[in-house]
Amino acid sequence: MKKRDSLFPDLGVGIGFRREFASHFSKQIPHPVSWIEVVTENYMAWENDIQPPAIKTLQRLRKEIPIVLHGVSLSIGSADPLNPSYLKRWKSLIDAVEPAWVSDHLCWTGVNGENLHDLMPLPYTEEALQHVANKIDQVQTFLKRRILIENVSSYVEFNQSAMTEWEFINELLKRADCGLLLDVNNVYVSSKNHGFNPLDYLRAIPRNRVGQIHLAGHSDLGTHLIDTHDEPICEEVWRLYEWSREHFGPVSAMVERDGNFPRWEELEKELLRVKEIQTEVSDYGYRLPQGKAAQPFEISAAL
Amino acid sequence: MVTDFPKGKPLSLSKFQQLYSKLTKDSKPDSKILATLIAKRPPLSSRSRMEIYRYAYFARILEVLESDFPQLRKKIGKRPFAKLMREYLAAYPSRYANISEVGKNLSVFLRKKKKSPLANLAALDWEMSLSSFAPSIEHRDFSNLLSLPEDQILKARLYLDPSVRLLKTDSHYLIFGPHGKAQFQTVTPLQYRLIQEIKKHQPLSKLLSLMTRSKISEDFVVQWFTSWSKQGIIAGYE
Repeated sequence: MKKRDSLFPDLGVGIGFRREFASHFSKQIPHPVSWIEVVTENYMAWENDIQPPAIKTLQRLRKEIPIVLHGVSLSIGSADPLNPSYLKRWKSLIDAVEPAWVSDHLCWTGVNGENLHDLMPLPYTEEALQHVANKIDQVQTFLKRRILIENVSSYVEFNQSAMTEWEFINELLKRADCGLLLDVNNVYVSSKNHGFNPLDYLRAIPRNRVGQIHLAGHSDLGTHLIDTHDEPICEEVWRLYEWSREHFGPVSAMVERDGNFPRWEELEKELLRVKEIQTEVSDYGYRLPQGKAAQPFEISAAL
Repeated sequence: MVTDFPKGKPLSLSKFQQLYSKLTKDSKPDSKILATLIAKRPPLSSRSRMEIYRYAYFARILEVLESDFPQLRKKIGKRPFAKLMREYLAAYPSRYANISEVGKNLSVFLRKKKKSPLANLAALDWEMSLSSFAPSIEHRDFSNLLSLPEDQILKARLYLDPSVRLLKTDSHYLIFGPHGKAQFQTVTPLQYRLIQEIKKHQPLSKLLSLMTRSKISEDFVVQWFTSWSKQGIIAGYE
């Protein structure tokens, strides 16, 4: 495996920090977690200056472990201009927490000032591409830092799209000079919902732009998959992660769980598996764990 | 590459998103808009694909509103509550980054609909929700306050737990929850006024003059302050 010239540090194994398992972090950081991600809006001040109490927990954790902020309401793809109040409150939180990096989603959450609180996909058009690139540039200028943008899972495709999602993302990363938070589960979910090969997607992503990887579970409804984050990570997604680790090199990776919370021991198993893959696929090359790791064509066939 | 790109000029991003928002929120999505925006991808129909977003949009917000307005939901029932929330969102679409802020105009909405009892209940639910959101602070023992010289007692200012909130609707309410579990009690107008003055960081001299003017018995006053202290409503003095 080639060593990559990454724009982002490899922090190891992370987890999406949720209050449901916060007690496991009260005395010490549980092994093998070496960083955590939190949802930005849960810690940001409200419009009327109400400060969420959880900020104190966050500041305590920050003394022990790197934190990254992951937003859900930037709405970078909205036709609306950026919300100055949101940016200001985000910046205040960044100053208070000093995260390793910050991220949000490649989507829009509403238009005409409304927030539908959902991550809605964009039409992949030149207009949308330039619009999003311009907005990311404004954000990065305001925050004085490079941000990561996450690919979302989707259930619809649009008639007016003129390029694939991965073509759109590839071009966006160049134009906006930002990083990608690569959600491997989202790639898998969308590949099943829209009938493309996830490896075509992953191969198109420039190696040095991937700053973080998300792993999560989804619900299989037979005709389609829903990105619910309330199931264990499926084998196909683990295979794609192994492939991604080999292809993209050392990238911080984490497990997201947002519902149907299992006992901590179950989450720990997934975290240990991330750690194992990170160790097996090290800087020194891909060491096959007893021939278990799949080659790309095998993954492709399996999917 | 999506191959069934329609002939003619594509919609602007803004127009596209306005139409898509309409599909997400309308109870019966318009077939023409669906056909214009959503690509046909069997085995799922365009309508079924859009239904995933329509369902997720409302279900996510409804879950938060049900959690923030438990008394109102219990009072009117699950289905009428959901119907009412659809009307509320149509009148007061969320303009907030945090989904927990969505319910902040519900009592105003209900009052405008001339549903005062429900508006009062919603206001109480909302204040309790905000109360449980408050940060916890260390409480200070102030039993030695009365041992201070009189001039210092008069200058002292009590302070409340951050969870304490006041609400005046059909009654006067004191809402508090020092340990994240909000509760409420009805209070007299004088008690309400006293807590209000403490919230404004007025000195004890101001509180004493209020009590003197109201000709309230000293026993009552001692009882109130002892009770507020025991319940963690008053957190200390400075």
